[in-house]
Amino acid sequence: LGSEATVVAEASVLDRARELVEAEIRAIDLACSRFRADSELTALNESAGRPFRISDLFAEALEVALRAARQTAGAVDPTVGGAMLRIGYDDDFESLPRQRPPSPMQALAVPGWRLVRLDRMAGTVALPPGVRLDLGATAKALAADRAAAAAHRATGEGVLVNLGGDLAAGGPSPDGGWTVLIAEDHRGDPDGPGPRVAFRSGGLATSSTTVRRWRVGELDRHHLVDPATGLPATGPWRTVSVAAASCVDANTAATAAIVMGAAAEGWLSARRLPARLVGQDGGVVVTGGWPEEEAAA
Amino acid sequence: MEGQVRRLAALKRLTRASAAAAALLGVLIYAGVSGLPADVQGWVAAAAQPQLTPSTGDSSDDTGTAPAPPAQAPSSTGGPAQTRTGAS
Repeated sequence: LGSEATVVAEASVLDRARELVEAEIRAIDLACSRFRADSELTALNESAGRPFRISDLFAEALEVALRAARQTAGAVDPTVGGAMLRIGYDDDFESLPRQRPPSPMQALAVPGWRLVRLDRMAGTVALPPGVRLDLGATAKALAADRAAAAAHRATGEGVLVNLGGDLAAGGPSPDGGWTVLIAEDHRGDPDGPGPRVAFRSGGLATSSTTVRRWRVGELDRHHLVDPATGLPATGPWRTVSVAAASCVDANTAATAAIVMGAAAEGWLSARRLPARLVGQDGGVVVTGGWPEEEAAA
Repeated sequence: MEGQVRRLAALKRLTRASAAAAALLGVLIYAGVSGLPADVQGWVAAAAQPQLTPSTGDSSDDTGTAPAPPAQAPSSTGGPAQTRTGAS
């Protein structure tokens, strides 16, 4: 999945929990990676419109991605795969040149999630020719949710799974909850500077335009595409963290907030989603019962 | 009473038959779609096919739902962090 993973659990069950988390990551990566030649997603993107038989896991990942699109009125849309290629995100980020030659880029809305024909009964999916999917907004969060649940089921203990900043809690939390440092980059020391919050269940995720960035000519690019334009989202928020009932819901809402821009604060508040929004100028706004910054810092 | 039981049994058979017909029709529609020229079949499938088989492509079964809030909002804490969230 191109990210670091962390598993937090009682020492007695940590090895077992780690095995299960690693197995889940491998399975999701094989199903959903856009950068693996042997993934189901790659094969689907090359299927040229034919109904394509898929595994149960990939079907679940697609279903989750389509639900995210519905929930956000298309602000989080899996048909951004072609747009990702156009903006230059065409390889695993670690392999991506940080400086690209200039190339003209015009706004072009993505095809839209309603074109994806998923048939769970038949175990098939069909895309119109030329439509390419990217499940980056939901697949990693789904892996975190599934891994945390599996590790808790197998060990009977509380487990916290962190996949590249997408956090899922399985089972009971420690007294006081799982303590998390809120940052813009998930890498680094959890004891670094920044606000800390504790959560007890569900998921916590952060989306940001500050980390996966590169330049095309003189223009900065990042990986969060606005489906309405097919271009990197522009708006008042550079980083959004959300707590929700699951990691998928948290990451869906965080990504949608970046894309929605000025409307995000109201959208999050209306759904009672605790969120922390960091503006382009570094100013912080919180919604839905997220701790005020003075109290959390 | 016996007549009611018979009607009920017939109704159940009819329901099963309808479900089977719907599933079969769905299969036939997919088969028909895949017989179209490659450059139009997907668009036809997307734009015109009724939802006879379960699909999440454009169904509206959970329209109006939204990402759900947690059971309890996060709380502020000053303790050492166990992990860290941030973009990857």
